[in-house]
Amino acid sequence: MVSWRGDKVNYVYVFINIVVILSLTLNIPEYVVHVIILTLWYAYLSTAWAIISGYAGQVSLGHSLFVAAGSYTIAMLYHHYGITPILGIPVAILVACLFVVIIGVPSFKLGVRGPYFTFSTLAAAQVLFYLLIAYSHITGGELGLSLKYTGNPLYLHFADKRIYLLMIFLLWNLEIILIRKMIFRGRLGYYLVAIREDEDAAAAVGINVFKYKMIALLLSGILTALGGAFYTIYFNYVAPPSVASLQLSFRIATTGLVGGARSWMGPTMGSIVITPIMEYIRIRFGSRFVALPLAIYGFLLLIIANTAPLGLSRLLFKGRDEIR
Amino acid sequence: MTPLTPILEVKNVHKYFGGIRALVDVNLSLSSGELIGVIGPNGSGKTTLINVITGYIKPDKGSVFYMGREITGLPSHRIVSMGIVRTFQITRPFRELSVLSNVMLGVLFKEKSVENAREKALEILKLLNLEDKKDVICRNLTTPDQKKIELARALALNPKVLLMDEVLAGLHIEDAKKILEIIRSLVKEKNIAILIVEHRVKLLSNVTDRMIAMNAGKIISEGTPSEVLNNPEVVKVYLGEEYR
Repeated sequence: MVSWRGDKVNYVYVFINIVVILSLTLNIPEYVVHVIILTLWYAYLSTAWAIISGYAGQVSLGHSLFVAAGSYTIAMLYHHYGITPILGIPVAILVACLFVVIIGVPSFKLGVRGPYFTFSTLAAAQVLFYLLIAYSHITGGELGLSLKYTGNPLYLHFADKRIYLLMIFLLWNLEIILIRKMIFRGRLGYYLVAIREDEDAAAAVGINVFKYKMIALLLSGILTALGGAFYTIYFNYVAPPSVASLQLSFRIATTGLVGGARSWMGPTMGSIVITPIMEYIRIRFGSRFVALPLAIYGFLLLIIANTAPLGLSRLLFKGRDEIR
Repeated sequence: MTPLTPILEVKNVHKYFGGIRALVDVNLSLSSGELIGVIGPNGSGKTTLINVITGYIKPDKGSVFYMGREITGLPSHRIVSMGIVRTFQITRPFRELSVLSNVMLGVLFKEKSVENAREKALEILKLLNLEDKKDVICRNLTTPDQKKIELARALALNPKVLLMDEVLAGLHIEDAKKILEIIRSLVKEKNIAILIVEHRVKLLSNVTDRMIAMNAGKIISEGTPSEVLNNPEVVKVYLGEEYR
């Protein structure tokens, strides 16, 4: 029997690896490299989002909070103190942990679940969005921070875009390996889906619901913050609309839901569909029709809800890449 | 009967929901290898009693002792870890998971390796004749099978005390008898203490050592099945005159 969850090959995963490795070795246009980087970036963020929202079933609409935690920490340390992102990353992880505690402890201790949890994440992310604008002397306010490009590899500045592609490709692969090892092959995954299915019944089989929700949020938050750190490293620029906005949170969630939030390949499949469309729209319309992306998310979710409520991966793999 | 030291003791427990008296001065003791049945009309406090023992509800007054140690108000998962396991009145399998995964979740509590847990879960499924349904997603099962899964999941936790809330309701008589048989053999072989809340009094009275009848939050009768079932108050509030 073919087991997509076990040691057998997942063809979508193999296909992506081949495409990226080819792009790394061949001399393809820089713009195409950029789109592949973005596709992997959103895939990476959404895969991290799915740990808490898909496996553990606690849907977050505030994951921009963790992206901002990673990207702003790196950016501010470099901008104000000249600290290389390499040293900034551990600090970014600590900031993400702090945010996990701030959101997770009150919500999960007080039994905030379902839509209530979703709205608390959304609210927390909005608070950070406005704080980033308000404390402009540290954060650069609405304009954000444009970082000085040195060309020095010690600051992770590279002229060849393909090095950034290699970075996000490795990051995404490490994330997938981590999830498969920790969640799909260990008991953590079973615990998380049990919590998603029925918290009381989960407690009845001895699962410490609070502890495992915290572990899920911690994993999800740290991985997302590392994705945020990559944003700063790649763009040398951070601003609230790009890394701390509601739009980003919606984008991450939509990508996961369209692809399938319960599967380890689902969010990546969602990104493969959504990212090129959104990039095309950005090029075609520029900054006109700012609400167009939101309308498209809504439209995509409508189609998915009607045809494949558990995402494209369920349609393709029939649950074989999920914990069932 | 040899004198038994109780493994579980409920002492003077009171619980009110607003003005409703769900439990009034309830005292109960349960020993290893003992099977006791709790009967009573709907709303008499049977499920609340299980909820209090297993930490889902904190009592307003009174305490619960397990092996001489007070466990009142501990979180549910801690109580499970000590060996007190419950099943739910309305079955609560993990609906989107397979039969095997449901039982594995019970085994995984003590068994850290997923592979070993799978093996052990399969053994339990064999015991309950559910082997051929191992890959079925629970939401697609019939009610009797869901009940069996819940029992299997509870057994997988290796309980010392098992509290079962209407495990027989809605089951065909043959299925019900089979489940009772399994339960009784568990009591004998594994020396588990079992408390069963049940409306199917006749089936229950065949297997229990002792019965308790509740009404309006109070224990109104306690003793052998025949003593309890012939108690005039029990007949009046619960069984009905025609039962005699």
